[in-house]
Amino acid sequence: MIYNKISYCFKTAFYNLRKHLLLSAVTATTIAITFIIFIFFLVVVINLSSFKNNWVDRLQVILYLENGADAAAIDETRTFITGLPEVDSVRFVSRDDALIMLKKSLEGQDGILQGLEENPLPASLEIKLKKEYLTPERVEIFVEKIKTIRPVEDIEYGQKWLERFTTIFTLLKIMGITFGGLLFLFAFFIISNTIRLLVYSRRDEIEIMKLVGATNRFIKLPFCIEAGIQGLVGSSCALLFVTFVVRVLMSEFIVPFQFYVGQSSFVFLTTTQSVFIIVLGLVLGLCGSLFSLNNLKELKN
Amino acid sequence: MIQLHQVHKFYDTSIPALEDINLKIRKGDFVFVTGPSGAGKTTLLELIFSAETPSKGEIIVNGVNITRIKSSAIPYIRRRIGVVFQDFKLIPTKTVYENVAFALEIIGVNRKIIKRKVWQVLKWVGLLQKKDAFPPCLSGGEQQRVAIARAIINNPILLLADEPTGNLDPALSLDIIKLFKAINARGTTILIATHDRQMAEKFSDKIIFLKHGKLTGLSI
Repeated sequence: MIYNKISYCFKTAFYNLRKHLLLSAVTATTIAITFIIFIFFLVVVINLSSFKNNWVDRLQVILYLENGADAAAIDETRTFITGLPEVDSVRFVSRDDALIMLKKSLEGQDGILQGLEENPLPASLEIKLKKEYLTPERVEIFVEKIKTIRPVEDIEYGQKWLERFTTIFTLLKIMGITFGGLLFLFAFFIISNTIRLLVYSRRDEIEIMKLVGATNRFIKLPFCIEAGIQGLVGSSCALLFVTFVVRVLMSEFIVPFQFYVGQSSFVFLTTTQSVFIIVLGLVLGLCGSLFSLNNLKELKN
Repeated sequence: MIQLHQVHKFYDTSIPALEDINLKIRKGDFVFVTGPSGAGKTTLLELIFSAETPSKGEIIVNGVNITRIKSSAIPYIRRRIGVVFQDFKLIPTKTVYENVAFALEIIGVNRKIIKRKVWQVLKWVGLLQKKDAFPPCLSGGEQQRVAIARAIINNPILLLADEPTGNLDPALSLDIIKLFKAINARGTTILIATHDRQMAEKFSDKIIFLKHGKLTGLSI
């Protein structure tokens, strides 16, 4: 009996989707546009997050040492820094090593260094901090702690970058949540109004259904299925569209950009995230329809 | 079968649509409710059918006090009651077969059983040859037969008809009343609302007279 009822509801839902094809298409398109923007924000946030994590992982505090600092002083400084709780590892880079590294990075452009009579590079200590200390505030505290040590001449760390990144990242997250929330609200009301129109166009049929003893739940189910399908189609189309666009962009722009920046690789949605987006479309459709159906006088006893 | 105890019904106006109605209809009765327009005939049927709730009083249908049941239980009560209206209330985009089958589909009856029952009932009301026609292509009498077929396909214990012959000429009206008589002969209690007092008196000796929402006569 339940199978017959459900089969009837699905049959009715598909029949009505075909019958009101234009209205259904407009609703699904609205949902798709909402999801395209949502997925775009999501991909940007995911990539920024991945980029930030990658960058933070590589973050080092570099102490440039005074020229002529003796080995014992350097060793003492190194031992002191290694003993600090924030520090994961310390590497000493001598002046000669620094020059070799520079030469390596300028391979093919040897002319730049040809006029040099002596090595201008200072020796340095490259400090890698523990992961839990890699926040703008904690790095700042650490730097304050070591900047007066002798024979340190200068300290370099990505403080400004880190701060900028954190701000942009937080801003984008807030924008995404606000804008995404508003868009979802918009899609929710579009669905809810579509269902309202559908109920209105079938009010005679609904009246007859009630006369012959249909329960409200049974009357509502085909509408919910319709809205669910619209949501599902909308979110799936959006996902396909964004995947296509990303593939085109990847080949045209992102790969060269990545090469240029030399940072983390581009991250797209995982299978779980993709499934979540499709299910979200279904849920949005169902919630929009239920909101509308529960407030219609045609569906009260 | 039907009992009404001190039933009152007020809409927004101060004039009651029904006032202090007390009556009892026995199982298998063939009863007419008659009176002029605005007498409260339709309201009475709507109360029995749970389309409206009484402002005061109790209504018992087939042993169930329908004034005290939850609204979610109403559809299940309605499945045991057939209803026929003056304007037929058929779905114009569905065929005769689909209109009748509809009453079984919504309660989850198996497709094979639906087919068998719809054929039987359409044959009984004399419309089997028109099963694929759409309601707008049928005459008023034929449309009313489809509505009756839909109302009885579930073997209701009670059949309510609100002015079922109101849109029909005398010859067709007679056909429809004969159909109701045949349904009644199978054991279904029939309650027909009509403004045509003569027709009521001609076809039944059990009549409820209403005027301005009050019971003015009862011959049950």
